[in-house]
Formats: sequence, structure tokens, C-alpha cells
Amino acid sequence: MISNRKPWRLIRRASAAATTVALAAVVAACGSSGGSTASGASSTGARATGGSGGSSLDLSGVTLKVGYQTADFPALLKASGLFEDTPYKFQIPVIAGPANQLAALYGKQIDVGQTGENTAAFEAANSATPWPADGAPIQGFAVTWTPQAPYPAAVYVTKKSGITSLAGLRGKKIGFNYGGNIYAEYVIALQKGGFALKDVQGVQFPSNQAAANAFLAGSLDAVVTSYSIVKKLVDSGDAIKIADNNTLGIIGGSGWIARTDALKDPAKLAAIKDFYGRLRTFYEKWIPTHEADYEKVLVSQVGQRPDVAKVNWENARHSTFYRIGDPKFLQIQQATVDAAFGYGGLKTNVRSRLGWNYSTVLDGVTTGTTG
Amino acid sequence: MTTITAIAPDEKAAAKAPLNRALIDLSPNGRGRVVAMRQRIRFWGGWTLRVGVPMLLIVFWQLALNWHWTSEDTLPSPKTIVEAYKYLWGNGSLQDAIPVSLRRAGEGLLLGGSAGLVIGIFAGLWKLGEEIFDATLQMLRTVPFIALVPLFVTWFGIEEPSKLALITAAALFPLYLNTFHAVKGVDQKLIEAGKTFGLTGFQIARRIIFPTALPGILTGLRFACSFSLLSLVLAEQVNATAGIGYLIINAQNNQRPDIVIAGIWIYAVLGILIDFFMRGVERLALPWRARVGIG
Repeated sequence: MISNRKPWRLIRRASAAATTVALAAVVAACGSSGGSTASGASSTGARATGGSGGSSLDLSGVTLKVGYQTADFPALLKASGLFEDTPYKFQIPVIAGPANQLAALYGKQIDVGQTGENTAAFEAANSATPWPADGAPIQGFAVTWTPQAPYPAAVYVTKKSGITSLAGLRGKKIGFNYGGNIYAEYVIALQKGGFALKDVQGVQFPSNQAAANAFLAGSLDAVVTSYSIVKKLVDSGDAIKIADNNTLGIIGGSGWIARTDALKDPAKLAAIKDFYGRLRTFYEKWIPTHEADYEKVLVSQVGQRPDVAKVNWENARHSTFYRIGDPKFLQIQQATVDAAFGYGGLKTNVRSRLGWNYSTVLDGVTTGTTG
Repeated sequence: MTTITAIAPDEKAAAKAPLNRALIDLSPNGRGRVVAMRQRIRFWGGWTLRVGVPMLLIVFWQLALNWHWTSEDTLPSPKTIVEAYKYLWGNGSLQDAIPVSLRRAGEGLLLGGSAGLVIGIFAGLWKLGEEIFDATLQMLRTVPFIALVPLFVTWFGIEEPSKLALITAAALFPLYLNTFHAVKGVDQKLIEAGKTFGLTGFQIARRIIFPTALPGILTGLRFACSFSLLSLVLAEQVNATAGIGYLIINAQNNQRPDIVIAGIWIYAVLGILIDFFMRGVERLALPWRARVGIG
């Protein structure tokens, strides 16, 4: 087994091999310097006067980190040119998945995260230890929604399943993913259908995409998902929509959450206000009037197919902010929490409150109205 | 008392036969050429099989689509995948992704591999090392990496260190495990023989244990290379704007299965290149190692 050659030669060969491997790794390591910085913008300006949330504070030392889950957002903001002269620096790290967004937020790696509108309520209800009554660690402060969207997230069923209404879901396999708007839609659909959890075969998936794939493959009778993912099946008539956000009474919006300490920091709050003032312009004015630019970014930079990009623009052009101070907002969140708790999806059904896990501090900037 | 064992004539012939054949094979005029040709055929036949089997699979894949056994939505055709590469090359994603991912994987491999190697040798050679590291590392290696991503974001942030930490962890365990077992598995008789010849502890490690354990260590390195590449998909979930993992995740988010499969193909090619490279390293490091096989 052992060679009869002199041992030092073995060591030399082994050393040569080890050196080769190490060198290869170093060469690979030096192969590139590019990497992981998120898109961003900065300005040489020192004071914030732009945006709806203008402030006279010196923001030149502020760096705002706004987490987002998909790469389209920073690319679109850059294309809009609305964020080029911010009096503070900002970064938009793309962090896939709500769990990673929340980890980055709690870990103070980002100031603002993007999840579902109900995430602040779900986090409070699911916390390992109850949040202090006088201060939640994170607060939902803005919600983007698309009230007139032609293709909202919906409950889709296969034609062959024979289901035509929520009542028909009894005993059927329904795909969903946990945590965000899709889950809210799932539990409210069960509630409106009058089902107990055992009355349907709920199949939980790690992502919206995975649930839709299972539906497309014919493994499910129904799925709660976005139209763009199941478009082909719906357009061919092999799948139909039986309920959506509007009919279920859900906002179905994108929720913006910040650490409470970021919202309490006057300079950071001023930067957030400026950023969301610009974001309102982006949603309400830039997107509706820039279809070609919007779709070009989605197709050429993000990799969407033109038909999917078109659907996404059709939805996005209706984007606006929901006023968190609207009394209906907390009612809707509480109804979702109660339903999720009832179906075993949450540890408690703790009540959401303004000034605790939701904040109206940006309502003026995002909707032009407060209170 | 002397025992004389007479060899039967047939047995004599049988004993001579291999010798005669070997002499004939080595002669310059005659079967030496035949043997050389056989070797050449075997060599090229081997390469034909290596390349031919994946090619056949791709042809079968395309035929399955042509014969409508599956659809483009379920499994994009090889032609569509090639179009996806053209798209990725056209917008510069591919050129950005490969060097960035190789850099990340290389750095993680260097850190994790080095740590795994050192700890594996330490734990394999010394009881104290085994007691300190083995139980802990055996526990940690079963932790699913996907569960570590949010924790690593909290501990190491969202910049490069968290990605590097994840890849480092992925590369550490296979090299540790293989090194540890290779060192522990060295034949005690060899060590005793070394002692008999007066070798000291360090000399035994250098002259007996390390060369004997080297095949196992290199197997660990092979695994570590693969794991460092595979962990990119998880590492590049967070705050990445380029990389193979990022390409795959972004494609998943945007309903582009063709790009997802294009990304998987890149992994496959990198896997082959790593295998090719590691074979070279093994030949260089283990020239005494016999090729074992029955055909």
C-alpha cells in the first residue's frame, strides 16, 4: 500500500498538490472584485428639501437601507431617475424571502423591510415573548396596494376539479405559502367558505412560486397565487378564478416595516419621509405614464417575459399607498390575525394597535392625509 | 526431512504461460502494437462514453419534448436553454455571474477547507483534538444550511461576510470529516512498523499517516469544492446583484424555468471541471495509487 519511494518525495508531492489547490483557490478569489452591493444612489446635497416629507435637517451623514425582496424594484427606481438627488445616501439590498427580510431588520442590517401588509400584526402575534406594551421592535408604517388592479392575487381552481365557488373547496387540495398576503387570502377563503381546517387538504409550500408550480403540474385542485404565474392555464380556460383580494375583503398590499428606533431617529425619519415621498411619485405618476420603460426594465434587466412584464405593469400602474390611519385598516388586519389564529397559523391573536406595531407617521407623506 | 514437490508437466506450462505472454507483449514487433492500439481504443472509448452519455441524455430530453411526453412549461427544451444563455450573455449577467461566484466559492473553500483540514488532522492525530472538536462538528454538520441563512444575516450582516461565512461552513465539514476518518483509519500495523524502525511521533505523522490519509483528504477536498459551489444558491439569496445563485433565484422569482435550468447547467459544467482538476491533483499527489477496476 505504501510506496517504497523515499518519504520526503511523498511529502513534496503532497505539498505540491496542496499548493496547487491553494493557488487555484486564490486565483479564483482574485478572479473578480464585483459583487454584492445593492443598487443605490447618493447625493452631494446636504439638506433634505425634496420629496413630500421635506426637512431642514442635515441628512448628508444618513444612509438609508431599504430592503426589498426582488431585483425589479431597485432597477425600476434607477430607471425612473426620481431618486438621483436624494440629500442622503440610500441602498436597496435585495433580500429574498420574508424570513430573511425580518432577520435583516431585527439584526439592524436594514432600516426598512418589505413584506406583506399583515407582517407587523403576524410578528406581534407570533413572537416568542410578548412585545412590550410601550414599544414594539418593528412597526408597519406604509402599505402599497393596487385597488383597481385587473389581476390581483386570487384563489384559482382547475377546471377539471369542478369547483366553481369557495364552498366547492371542501375536501380539495389547496396550495398556499405561509406568512404573507397569500396566507391571509387562504385563511379568509376558508373562513368565508365556512370550513374547519380538517374540511380541506391544505398543502403548504415554501414559496408562492412552488405552490403555483404544483398547481401547474396538476398536483393541486386549487391554489392561492398571483395571476402572472398561472397565466397560461387561466388564459387557456383550464383554470378559473373563484375569489380574489377584493371579493375576500383583503387589501393584499405590500407592507413596509421599519425598526421602531429608525422611526424615532429624526434624521432617519426625515430620510424615510423623503424617500417615500419620491416613492409615491414613482407609483402614482411615473409608472402609469412609463409603460415602455417599465416593461423594458423587467424584460431586459430582470428577465421577465414580455407578456408577464405587461401583466405586471397593468397591475403596477394602479399602485398607490393605503392610509394606515384608516379605521378599516386595523379591522382588516385583526380579522386576518383572528382567522389565522383560528386555523392554527399563529400562536396568539394579540390586537394590533396604532403607535405600537403600526405607525401613521408617514400617512401624510404617502397619502396626503393624516389621522 | 525434505519434501520434494514435483510439478506436473501441465502445471509447469501454466506457470510459464503468463511469463511468455508478457515477453511477447513487450516485444517491438508483434503484439506490442496491438496492446498500444487496445490502450488507445480504451482511452478514446472512455472519453466517448464520458461525453456520449450526457449527449444522449440531452437528445432524449429534446425527443421527449418533440414526442409531447412533456411540455415546454414543465421542462424547457435544450434549444430554449441555449436561447436563455444568449439572453444572459447579451445583458452581461453571465459574464458578471461566473467570476463573482467563483471568487465567493474560492474564498469560502480556502477558509473552510483550510479549517477543516487542520481540525481534521488535529482531531485525527490527538485524542484531545477529537474530544474538543468531533462531537461539536458532528452535531453542526447535520444543521440544514437553509435554516442558517436568516441567522447568518443577523450575525454577519448582509454584505460579503455573511455569504463567505455560509460558504466557509459548507466547505469545512466535508473536508473535516474525510480528513478525520482518513487519519484515524491509518493501519496500526504501519505505525507499529514505523516505531520499530525508530521513527518519532512527528516522523510517523509525516511519513506514514499523512501519505496514507491523503486519498481520503483529497476525496474530502473534492466534496468541499462541490459544496462551496452548491452553497452559492443560499448565500446569494441575500443582497447579491450578481452570481450563479442570484441568477437562479431571480429566474425563479420571474417565472423563467429556462434560466433556472441554464444556471443548473453551469453548475454541471463547473462540476465536471472540478472533477477534471481534482483528477490531475490526485495524479500529482498520489502517483503510487493503483487504478482499481475490473474492466
